[in-house]
Amino acid sequence: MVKKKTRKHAQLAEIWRRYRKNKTAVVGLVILMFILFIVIFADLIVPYSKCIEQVGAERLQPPSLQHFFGTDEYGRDLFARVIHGARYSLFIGVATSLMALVIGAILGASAGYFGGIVDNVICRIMDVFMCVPPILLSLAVVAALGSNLRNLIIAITISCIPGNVRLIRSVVLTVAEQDYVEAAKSYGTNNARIIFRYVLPNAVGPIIVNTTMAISDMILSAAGLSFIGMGIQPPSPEWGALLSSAQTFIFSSPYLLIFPGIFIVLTSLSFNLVGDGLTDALDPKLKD
Amino acid sequence: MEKKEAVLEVKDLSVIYKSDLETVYAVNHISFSIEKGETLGLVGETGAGKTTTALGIMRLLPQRTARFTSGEILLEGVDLKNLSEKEMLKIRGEKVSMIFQDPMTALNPVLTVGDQIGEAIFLHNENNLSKKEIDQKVEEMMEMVGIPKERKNEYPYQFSGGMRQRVVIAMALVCNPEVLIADEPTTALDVTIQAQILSMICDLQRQYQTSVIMITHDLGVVAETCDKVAIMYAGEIVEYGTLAQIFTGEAHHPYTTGLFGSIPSLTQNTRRLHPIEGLMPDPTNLPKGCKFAPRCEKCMEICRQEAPQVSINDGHQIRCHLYMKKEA
Repeated sequence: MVKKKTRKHAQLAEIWRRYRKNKTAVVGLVILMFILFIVIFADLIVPYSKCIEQVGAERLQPPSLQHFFGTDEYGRDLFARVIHGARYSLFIGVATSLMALVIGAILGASAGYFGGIVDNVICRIMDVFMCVPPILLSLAVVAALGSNLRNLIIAITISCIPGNVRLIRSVVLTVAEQDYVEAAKSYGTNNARIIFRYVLPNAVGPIIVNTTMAISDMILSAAGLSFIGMGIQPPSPEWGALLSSAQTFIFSSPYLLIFPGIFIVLTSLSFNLVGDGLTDALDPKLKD
Repeated sequence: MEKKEAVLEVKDLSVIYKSDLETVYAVNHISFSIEKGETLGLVGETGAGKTTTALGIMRLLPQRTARFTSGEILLEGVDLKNLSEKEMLKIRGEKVSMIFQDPMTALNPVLTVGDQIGEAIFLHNENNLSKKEIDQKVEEMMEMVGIPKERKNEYPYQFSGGMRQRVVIAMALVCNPEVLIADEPTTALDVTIQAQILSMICDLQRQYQTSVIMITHDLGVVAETCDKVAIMYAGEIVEYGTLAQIFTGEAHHPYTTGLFGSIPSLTQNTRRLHPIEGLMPDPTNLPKGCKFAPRCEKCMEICRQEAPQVSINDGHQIRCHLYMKKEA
């Protein structure tokens, strides 16, 4: 057992060593850590009450020492709203991408690996979903289920699944043809084990990149839905919602747009950079 | 002839690949048997149906196109053709296992070699070995095939081609199968490594009393390793006999003669090689009579009309009209 432990440890160290070589990925990781720090300690940085407290006398204040990011049209502190909004946005982004990844991986891998009827049935169903533009699809789901956080997550996940299934299926198709899959069959490995131990790990590169990039997309579509009132309901702070409500004041108070915007960009960027770095670091085929 | 129990017996096996457009007759009515600890060489050109035979025994033929149209594959008296996929999972790796041609692609790049060798033990773990015991067995196996056990946590890309083939062999033999199918195990390796790998397979075979089907197109490999030889042409076994009968016997199928004529000899001073003219017949449209007739130097009228029967002489089988006439 002791041996096993050191071995796992050695592998992690090896992955970290490869990851560290990629400087931009390290920058991405630092930004991501910073945002995670905000998410975890939001309440310590600034209490939640601050972001719903409406102070009529302090409407549309520019950034100052008292209000770091200024205040919005109801006199709420934008700094507090952005900090707490991180929780919503990140949670939505990560939760939807992970769910879409798991469902997409199971469906896509089955379609690609088994082929034939299984492939046809799964792909045709996905085609039906793909006919509808994703934003309309999520809209329809939210309209049917009612608008709250849970339904928003379900809606965005559903709209994201078809793309994932297609991507994973196409990667799996090429991996499933490899000799080592046939070799695995030749010593009696069952299909489930082949999919999870041989096929998916070898297809992981494009999947990780896609998922990390999807997180930023998901944050944006959640923002879009919040904008048309089908997402997170005010006064809950959510980055997308902050952006859309700030549109009216784009010329008079641009800071209302700039600060949430910066955070969205930083988050997307960090996820993308980390995703890129991970692909390289996790791939034992890249020798150096 | 000594009477030993045949471990694997293939009787009258035929395999076709059927698609919408055409039907490929890949293997046509072949029969052979292997006794315990014996090596059978399956020799033939590319496309002769050697690999199809091997995959057929493993029941790994592509499910959508390949069909068995006749025959039986008896492993210790059980017909593998009638087993369900679930029962086959138990046979593969434990009773019959396979070494693939190209070691560069036959290993999963994301698992360590130790894990991959242990995989088969884990899957056929009837003695309920603990992780530690499996680990130990993996290490023993690695030493056996000549890889230092310290390397078990390394990944396939860190190994050379010859070392990888050793890993592949370790994977195939770790469960001590009754039958090992080696599908051109040395084709992708260079000559020095080839000799090492072959002698290692032979050593392990003697140690474990495994029966081996050695698929190859290299008669040199056959001479070094096999007890019995089956020469395949266009999905048929045209000649079948012991090593001595094939290499030093007098009567031969013209195709076998042609094969030997295509090898450069070190001892005789030959000016030219004598390759066999022409190509293998189209397996979707095989000739009516003898399948080798279009390329045969000794082709007679009857060869084009009628498929020859097998003539047997002391276990030495030849499928050719030349020898049937003598009998009559």
